[in-house]
Amino acid sequence: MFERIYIEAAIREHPRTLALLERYPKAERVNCERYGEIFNPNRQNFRIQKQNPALILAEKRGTRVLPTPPDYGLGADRHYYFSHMLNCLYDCRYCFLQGMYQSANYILFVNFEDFRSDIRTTAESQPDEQHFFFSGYDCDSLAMDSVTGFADAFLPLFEDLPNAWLELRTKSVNVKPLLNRPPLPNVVVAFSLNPEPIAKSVEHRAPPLPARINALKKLSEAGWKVGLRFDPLIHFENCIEVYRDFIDHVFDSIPIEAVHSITLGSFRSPKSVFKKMESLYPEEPLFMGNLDLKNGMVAYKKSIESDLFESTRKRILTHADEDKFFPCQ
Amino acid sequence: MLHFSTALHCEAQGIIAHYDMKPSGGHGRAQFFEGEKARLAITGVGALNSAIATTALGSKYPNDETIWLNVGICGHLDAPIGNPFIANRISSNTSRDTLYPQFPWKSNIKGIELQTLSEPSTDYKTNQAFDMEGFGFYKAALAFASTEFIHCIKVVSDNAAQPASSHFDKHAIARMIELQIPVIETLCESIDELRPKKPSSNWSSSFIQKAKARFRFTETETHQLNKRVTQLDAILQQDEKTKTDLLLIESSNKKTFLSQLQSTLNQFSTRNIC
Repeated sequence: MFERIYIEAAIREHPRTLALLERYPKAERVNCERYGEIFNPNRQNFRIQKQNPALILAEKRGTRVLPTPPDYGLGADRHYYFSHMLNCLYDCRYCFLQGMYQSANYILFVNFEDFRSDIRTTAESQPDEQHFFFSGYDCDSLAMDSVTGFADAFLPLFEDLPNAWLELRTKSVNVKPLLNRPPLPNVVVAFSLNPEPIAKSVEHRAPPLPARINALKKLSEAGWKVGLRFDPLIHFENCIEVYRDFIDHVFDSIPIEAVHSITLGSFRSPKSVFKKMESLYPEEPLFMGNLDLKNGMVAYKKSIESDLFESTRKRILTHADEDKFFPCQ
Repeated sequence: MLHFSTALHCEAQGIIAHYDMKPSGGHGRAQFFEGEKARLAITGVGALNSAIATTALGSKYPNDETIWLNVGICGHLDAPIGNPFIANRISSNTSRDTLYPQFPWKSNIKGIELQTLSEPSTDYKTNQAFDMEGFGFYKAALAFASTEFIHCIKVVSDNAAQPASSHFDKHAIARMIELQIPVIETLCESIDELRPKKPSSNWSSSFIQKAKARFRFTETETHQLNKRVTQLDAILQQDEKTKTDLLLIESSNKKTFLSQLQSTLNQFSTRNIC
């Protein structure tokens, strides 16, 4: 799977490093002092590296659990995110990661124990409050679970933290690690969903929509709480009708009782990130038209955005109660 | 286009012959050679000489689709003489920086850590090759290409069993490098395959030329023109391009013209998203 694995000095003897190296004996090993030496230099081409990324094993130092931006909550008292990985197996053309990082190589922070300790400390610091931890901000939570063992390493922690919630944000249909264990009431498996034409043409390498819905079904049947993430909404020909049918199809496929939360957001990107994405993919129609720059963010023109957002919002609310709905605007 | 850099003439001669290159001037003590598919600089020994000649070559022939290769000999503790390596980590005894060439493909050459030294050495180290140019070459080439397109290919000329002597056997070195040319060619093919394919249509360049003949654009407008026409080229059918040509005639001024191009993009990009 990996032609090359870079290994940061600090975690060369870490048990997770050793296990991964044993698992990929043919991968070429390259030592480095800090992952930033490989990941951060400017003269790299994300698009080209994305064709065959290397794995960088590193130690996450400093702050590991961060508060989310103000409008990204799910109704808990406090919301945080943490990233055990940077970059994703999939190659969604709208994804901010391609505009954010210089390198498409995967970074795996192997010191899971430090993340777990920080999550516990954070949750226990305010025992009377509900804390929500998002795990799929800089990567897909489950796409590389067979490599990282993330689910098995983090789920037991939440069994033990009644005032903490975990969101696994994913497009992966690799849900066996979840189905193999009893569901946890404070874990939400949230799937990013878009209509099939968008999934096919924009969400490269991601599982097709029917497979994702099937995974959602299996999880909900097994008693897991699921999340529906309709984000980002993409504007294309007949998109309002396509999104309407798509929303109906998703809600017809999954029992509403299993749905913990629904989020909705339009395509938007910080200007600098957008510029980089656009220069990497000059032929990509997604970046070509009907966009405006407002307050440093590139987003659809107001009328386009509100038409699509409002019609989709209304359709969602024909299926779900407002208390489960969290718009991101 | 390939841009080679070698320290010595004997390292270069097989490459010059293979790519049918002819002398094409130089810079200081560096000599340049040029053929249809490749150019080469003989830089002289040392990281600084290599950096200077690499910069001169890149400045003389600017091209953002070049593959940069430093080819030469190296020392290694125990690898057999004649063994090729590609550097996956490049350091220097005169700098704190470390460079990591990126290979998003399955390499046909074994990777190695390369240390560039300012003096010849026989103090061989495990899993490391020595040279005297790689670091200087790489740092300089980064001004012209991204790290996926710059590589150092080193052939073992000495090891602990047969340490470097003060006299080079130039013929042996020339032969060693020559034997690696098929390997280098395969490597270059792998690198080239990674490059995103540009649309082959001539429409955009011709349309841009016609637009520039019709209107006088500022720098910013020229940038907008180039971007919008290139984007249209990627999404329009041939008959739609012909219709777009009419915008040049119908638009009374450049602002209207640029705005019409964006309107066309707004209309057709929506269709092409999926």
